[in-house]
Amino acid sequence: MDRATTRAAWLLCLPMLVFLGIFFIVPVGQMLGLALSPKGESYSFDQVVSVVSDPFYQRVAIRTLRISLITTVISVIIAYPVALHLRNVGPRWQSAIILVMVSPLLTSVVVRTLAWVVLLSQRGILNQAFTGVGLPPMRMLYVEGAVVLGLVHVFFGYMVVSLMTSIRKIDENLYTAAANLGASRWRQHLEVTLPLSLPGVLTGALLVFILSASAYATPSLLGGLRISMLAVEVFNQAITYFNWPEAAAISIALFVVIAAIVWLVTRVAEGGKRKVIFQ
Amino acid sequence: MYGRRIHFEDGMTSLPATDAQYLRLTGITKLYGGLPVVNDVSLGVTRGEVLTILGPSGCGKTTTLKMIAGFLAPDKGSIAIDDKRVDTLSSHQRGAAMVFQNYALFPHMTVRRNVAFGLRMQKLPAAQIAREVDEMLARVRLDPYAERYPKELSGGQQQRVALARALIIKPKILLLDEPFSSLDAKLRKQLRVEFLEVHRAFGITSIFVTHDLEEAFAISDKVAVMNGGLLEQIGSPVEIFARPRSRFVADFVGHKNLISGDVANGVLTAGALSMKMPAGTANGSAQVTVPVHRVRISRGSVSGDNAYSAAVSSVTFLGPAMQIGIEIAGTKFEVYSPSTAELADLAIGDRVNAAWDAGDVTAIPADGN
Repeated sequence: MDRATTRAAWLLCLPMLVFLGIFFIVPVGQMLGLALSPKGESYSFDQVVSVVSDPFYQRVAIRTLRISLITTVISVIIAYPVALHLRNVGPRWQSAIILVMVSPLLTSVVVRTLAWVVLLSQRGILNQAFTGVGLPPMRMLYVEGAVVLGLVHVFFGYMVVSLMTSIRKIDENLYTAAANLGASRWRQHLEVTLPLSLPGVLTGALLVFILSASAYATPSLLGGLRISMLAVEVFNQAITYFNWPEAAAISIALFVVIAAIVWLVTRVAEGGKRKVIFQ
Repeated sequence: MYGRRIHFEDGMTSLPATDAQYLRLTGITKLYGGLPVVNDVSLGVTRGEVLTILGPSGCGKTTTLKMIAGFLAPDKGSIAIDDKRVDTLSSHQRGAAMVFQNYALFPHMTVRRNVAFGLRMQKLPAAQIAREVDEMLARVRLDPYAERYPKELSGGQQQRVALARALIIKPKILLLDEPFSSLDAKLRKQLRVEFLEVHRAFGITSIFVTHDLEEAFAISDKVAVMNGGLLEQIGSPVEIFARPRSRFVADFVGHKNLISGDVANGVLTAGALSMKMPAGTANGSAQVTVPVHRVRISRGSVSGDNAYSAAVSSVTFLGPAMQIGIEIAGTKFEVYSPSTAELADLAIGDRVNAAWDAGDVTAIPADGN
């Protein structure tokens, strides 16, 4: 690129840079300041250290990561067959299925999550059905499973779209070639689809993981007070207890943990022998 | 090991029956929406030879190849390899290995793993796979590239990987679907040579599909010309070129001087033009071709059974040869002549003498076959 085009490119990015600067960088910087210097005096890590070393927050953090991980794994498992199937259907079915997949994204998270409350609560539809056939009512709300269920429902569309993109790019001839060399249908998927879809798996998994780890509405409605996650604690500290410095410290801890995980996963995935696939 | 043989008239008679019909298609037909894309095609391929299916796009050549490969099932007819019917077998079971148009190498596997793929599917012991792969890589001169990925290779190297990957499973026949079609002319020629080297080394019966006449002639023992789903003619390149059996084949292999007229007493008359025909030509209406390279042109005198005075209507200089348009008795001819010093300053409107022998005039059956 010559200098003029470089300048033009920067100019075109300017509106976005200004927007991000005002509405993202500045608030995040303020939050950082709040965490490091709660009273506006000298800077110290005391606030962050006290949050990080608090056993309660440690438990919440571990739960957050566990729930996000399980959500991600389940999303991959159920999205994969869908994405695979999308390869084999005509364009009309393809759009129809994609529409159904992303339809959860068209309604508000709160509405969707409240629908789960109606289904899962102590006197909800499912429990009424159970007691109707003589079974004891089951605790299905305010457990980790409920949060995972809600998160999978909300986010797995991202997984499908991301997987589909990389699966659709696979050259049909590779399957014919594999079959020609004696690979069964199953082996073809193992040798061709699986490795070549890994970039899609990675993108989708990172998306779902990040979105789950920072989710607020779903865990607060389906997890309640018992199954709290970090984003919920941020909200509680900031809004309920009006403890902004502590909320800021939790946010920063959450941000650092997620960033570290994303960096690590990307490095491992794109390094070494696997780099050919991910380029 | 079977070497490359050139069949001028009929090379099949001297070989044992199974060798001459190593691959046999009998009346295979493929319908799409009720219409035949491949229509009652029968042909035999001799063991160890290269057969090229040649034709314009949409002629059914790739469909025929896919049926031989086992990727498509014929609606009618049968396919036999080595005297065994293979219609119901998968492509792998019938021993037909394919080299794809874009090679379809596995992009996420090294050269070594690509080549090893077929053996891994057979679940052979790892040590044996390693040994056979090493051997194969050495044979196709890919050993220095064993740990590279396909996109790190040149087009020629990729082709050798594709060939090695197909050959390592010891197929009975090798199928190649226009493997050079997306490449530039220079690389095509180089890959052609490389393919012939590999073919010579392995002696494997190969079926090649192309729309490129020069390519077909350069690599094949036998050429099958297809048009509109029908097999127009099968024979050696020399035979196909010298004795086209239909107007389509004549046209497709580069005959320009197709003339229709009436034969009486060994002389064909078409308008004001008359020319002597080969001995024994029957009376009646006939369609003939005068091959472009058999016409001799000179400003001085030229001898031949058919000698005329002609007017030059176009001159195109092609380097070693010249493409010259002439008009004889109201009929236009196209002639390829060596670029001799005498013809160097040939211009439109010049008078020249043109001649060819009666034996060079080739009758083309009027009804196609």
